[in-house]
Amino acid sequence: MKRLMKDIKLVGLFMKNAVLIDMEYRAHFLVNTLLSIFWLCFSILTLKLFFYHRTSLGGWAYEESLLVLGLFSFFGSFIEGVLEPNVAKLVEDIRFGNFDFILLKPVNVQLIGTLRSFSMKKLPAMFGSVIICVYALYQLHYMPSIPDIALFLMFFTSGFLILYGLWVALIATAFWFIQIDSIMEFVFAVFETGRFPITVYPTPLRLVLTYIVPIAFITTFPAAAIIGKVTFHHACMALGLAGIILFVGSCFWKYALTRYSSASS
Amino acid sequence: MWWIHRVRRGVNLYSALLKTYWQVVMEYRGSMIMWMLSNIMPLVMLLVWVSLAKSGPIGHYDSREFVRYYLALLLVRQLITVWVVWDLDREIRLGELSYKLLKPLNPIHYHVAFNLADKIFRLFTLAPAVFCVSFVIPGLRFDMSPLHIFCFTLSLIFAWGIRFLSQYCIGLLSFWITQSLAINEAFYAGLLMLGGVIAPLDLFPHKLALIVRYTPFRYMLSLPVEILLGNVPANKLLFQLLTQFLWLVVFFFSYRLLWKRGLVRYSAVGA
Repeated sequence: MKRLMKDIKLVGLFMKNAVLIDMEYRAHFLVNTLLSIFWLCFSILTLKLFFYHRTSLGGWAYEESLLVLGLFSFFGSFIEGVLEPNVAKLVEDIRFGNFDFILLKPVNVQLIGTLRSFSMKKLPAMFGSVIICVYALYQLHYMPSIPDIALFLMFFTSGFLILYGLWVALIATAFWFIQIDSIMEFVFAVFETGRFPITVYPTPLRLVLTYIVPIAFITTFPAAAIIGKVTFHHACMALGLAGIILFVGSCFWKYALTRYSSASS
Repeated sequence: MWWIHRVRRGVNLYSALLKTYWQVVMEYRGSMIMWMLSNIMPLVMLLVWVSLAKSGPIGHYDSREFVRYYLALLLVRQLITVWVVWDLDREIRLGELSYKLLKPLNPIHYHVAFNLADKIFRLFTLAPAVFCVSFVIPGLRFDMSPLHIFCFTLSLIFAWGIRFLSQYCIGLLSFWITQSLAINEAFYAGLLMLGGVIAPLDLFPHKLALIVRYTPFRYMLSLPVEILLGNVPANKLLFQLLTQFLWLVVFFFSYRLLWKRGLVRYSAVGA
């Protein structure tokens, strides 16, 4: 418990640092805000184009798909704003052997290796995604009940945990390959499948995206939860899956650490 | 015959540059393959469209037509990939450009050669894949008449030229501003939306489709795809190729202008 409190305090400090750094680049922040709005419009237009020809997308109405899209851009921005900035740092540390200093610190190495820096620039995008979701719910005239919200929160939390767990495993490959930007690009491309409800994909792919690379649990299921389309059973499954992925990810991270062999120091 | 010298010099230059950059490409072959595999977005769009087309064709596209369209798009998109804006932005911002300016060669040639080496690598890796697919599924074969292939190749080269020069122009903006990468990102969104990745352009609402047909984005990606598929009627082909060439000329002169003006402004940092 004491360790957990320490970890949370540590992440808080990292966040404060990141905000201070970001405040120095205000023009960059402004341009990125505009870009985020631009990309959100882009995503909505894409969806509109599909619904110009049809009235449902894999059994989902326009507003329901909009909900999925909102969650997709929320988690996408979370990746780009919170998880991704750490990759460049870690890669640099491994290349130049600076990772030595992190190993020496009396803190959780996985935490400092994977959640050290944040970027504020994606905050407006996350905010915009929430607006899209609220708008979609409003258009649906659906008032989520308390159980709906509870289920949604369960899925939402497990969405974060699943993403983080997968990310830890992914970032750990840097101990082998060092330069992992092309792998990152590939992962972003795979995450693109979360843009639309999972039901539009053919069955084999749907199974892969549910159980092997569980992107369905990040975008489709939370959206389904808030409009009362899933059961409690599913939510428990999501949390269980999140636990497994976190555990495996962190085991893999520890294994990868043994590969580290400093550099010219 | 002064121009023979120039041609000979050009050939010598490019064969030397291509050899160098070919080695760079081969060094990063693993990453290269990953970059190529990252081109998933068209496949996602394909799956969505196919699922929508289950209840009947959309426009003149049924499932098979969608598959044909997006496979052609995947192929063309691999061959027009350009990343020069990141290199230019870095070179100008960090002053690395200074070294290149000392050499008696316009720096654009290094970037062109690097990109061509990458395209040769992509052709070698893609050719077997294309061959296998068209061998297994006869419905996916394209018209192979010499004239058709010639038109396609021509429009592909133009498309690459437009894409390369437009990105080079955006990169040159780094002489004045620090956020040229953001402009490039917006431009890229334009390519996805109006270049035919999100949807074949004839699936846009009619009024929009008319405008969309004249933006440069169409001429960077969707035109070669449509020519390859044989969707451009013969009487419109010449006009389309001319429009494409016009865009190429526009971007070429923008590049010349930006380069001349930018060099005057350039003052490297700590180099």
